[in-house]
Amino acid sequence: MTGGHEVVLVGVNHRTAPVEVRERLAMPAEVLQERLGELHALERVSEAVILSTCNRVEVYALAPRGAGTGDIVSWMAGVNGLKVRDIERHSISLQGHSAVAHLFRVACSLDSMVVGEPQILGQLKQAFQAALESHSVGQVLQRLMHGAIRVAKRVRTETRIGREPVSVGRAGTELARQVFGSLDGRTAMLVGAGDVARLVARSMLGHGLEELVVVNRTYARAAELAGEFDGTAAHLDQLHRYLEKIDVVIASTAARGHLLNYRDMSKVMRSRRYRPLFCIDLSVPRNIDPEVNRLEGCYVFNVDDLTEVARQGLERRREEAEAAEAIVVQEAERCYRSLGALRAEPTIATITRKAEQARRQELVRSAATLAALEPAQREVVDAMTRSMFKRFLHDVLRTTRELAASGDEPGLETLARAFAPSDEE
Amino acid sequence: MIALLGYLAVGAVSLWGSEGERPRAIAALRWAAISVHLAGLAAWAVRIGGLPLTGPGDTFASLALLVGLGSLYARRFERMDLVSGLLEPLAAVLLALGLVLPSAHAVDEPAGAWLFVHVAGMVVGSAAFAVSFGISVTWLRVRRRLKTKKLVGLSRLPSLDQLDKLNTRFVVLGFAALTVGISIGGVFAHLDGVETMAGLDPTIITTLLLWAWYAVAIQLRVISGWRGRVAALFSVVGFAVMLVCFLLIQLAYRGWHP
Repeated sequence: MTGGHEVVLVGVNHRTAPVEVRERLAMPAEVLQERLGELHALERVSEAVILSTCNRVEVYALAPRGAGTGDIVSWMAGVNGLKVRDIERHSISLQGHSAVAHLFRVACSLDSMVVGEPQILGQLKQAFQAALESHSVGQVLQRLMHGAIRVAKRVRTETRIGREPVSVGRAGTELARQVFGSLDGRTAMLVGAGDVARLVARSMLGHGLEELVVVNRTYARAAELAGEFDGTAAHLDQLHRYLEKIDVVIASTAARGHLLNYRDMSKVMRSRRYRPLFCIDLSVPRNIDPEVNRLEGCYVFNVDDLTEVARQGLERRREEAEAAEAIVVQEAERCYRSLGALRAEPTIATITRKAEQARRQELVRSAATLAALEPAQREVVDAMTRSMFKRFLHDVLRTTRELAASGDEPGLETLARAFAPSDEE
Repeated sequence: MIALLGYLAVGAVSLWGSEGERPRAIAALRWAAISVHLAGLAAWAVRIGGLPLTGPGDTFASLALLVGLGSLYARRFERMDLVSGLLEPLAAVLLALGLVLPSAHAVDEPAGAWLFVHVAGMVVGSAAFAVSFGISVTWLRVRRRLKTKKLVGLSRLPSLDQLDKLNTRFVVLGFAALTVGISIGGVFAHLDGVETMAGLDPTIITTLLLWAWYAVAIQLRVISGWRGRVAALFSVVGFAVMLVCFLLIQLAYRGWHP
């Protein structure tokens, strides 16, 4: 990108390498600074960022095409005690625009195992922060990383890629939020100890649920589970007492009959003044009489409903991914062009410096004549010479930027040589 | 007419389409419709030399503007496309009525301030009930989808709790405005000895019945804690009855009071 360098990507991810390879290459946070230092110390690597998550270990660097990539692969092999060919077999290697587009897809979670998952953006920010702290990033990768973070935010705002639930736990939470808006300050009751029910409870706690009451046939088991969720334990006998207070019921017991039947629940709802009660029945056979759904204020969903919501969510995310891809293509193109413009900056600086020197020399040469002028007149002369040089250089600088954008390194070097300071200067 | 078409267009997009592709264009169209409507009413006010509340025509047009503004307010909250999709066509219908029904072409004599407060109270109250109508219809639709488990695209709709709170806010606002309008109108009409305010005036009877209806709705919602479906049905029925009664009154008397 500058001085013949280009943005390059070398790495492995869940598409290219099995977990056995990924785990050997993984770089935990505590060694990341050290690794960045080593990478940055490589002769042909001028900037570097390492993104290491459970699904990928990717190095983004500013290095010469080909040779730079080889250096990075050799370094990865050396650091992790692997053979170069083992890494080459499982790795991807991209340069220039392709590397930029890949980073943007990663940041937008389009390359994630679960498309649209939100963690990757945070992980990318941490990777960038680590690179900033170890001074391994310069102007180019900083602009690239800021661009990736910006496009990820744009995709989150303009598409619904991260909003659709794709797990049963999240589906339960989203349905509850459809009733209550937010789960902040709400109380749920977990009846039984099924795995899926615990997932739903955990998801709800992660979305603001204030309190969880765990009810079980054996109090000891309830207390054990309540400890796991930092909740309150109660015996199954107290089920109906809690029903008047709580907002959400998550039922998952091995009981053969209905724990909550229509008649009892109609009394409960009356005493609640039909304040909404959201029920998730994950048991088979069901613990909540399906007729309870007919009661005003009561919303009952079973495991099939939640699975269906998760399936639809996955489908919607795939649809949204298409819209997100279009944004990524557009933004990657724009970012790559702006990175190309950076290539022009050293040459532009050389040209403008040379022009300014020439202007000053001429002013010094005419100093005696200029001394006879009034200060205001001297200012006019100064401004006029500045303006003349600016107009003269306008087309030259435009051509420089065009050469940089088209990647014409020889053209840029010729221009830089033409405007290089002469010996007498 | 331009505002009317604008309301219909953005209403149709909110109701059936998606703003995802061109959200800025749709938002611009929505603001353009409101601005044209406001400018039209302002021009009318200058022409008649008073506020556009002189007759049924300009009163309905003012009501339509307030409903449009109510729709804009509702959009401050998340996922309110469906509410806008109901309110914007409603604003278009009210504006169409405003264009058809007669208005005074000049304010002949300076009306008392009380008359303005009375009419403004009634219009603001009616607009708030109209917005609460749109919110309540949305509440009933979301509830129906949850109950019947039609869950596709549900996440694009607002939550029941949010709609319920917003509905309460508009019903209370409407009730307060209506109360002010009725009290001021009743007291000052009596003091000024306005002869047309006969005991069997259908507008007065309808308004008092509606006031009682919403008083019960607020009693049930705010005091007794009944919410959701009961509150939504009160709002839907209340506004539907109000609209039909006022239209019949207009057809019968070509004005608000016989």
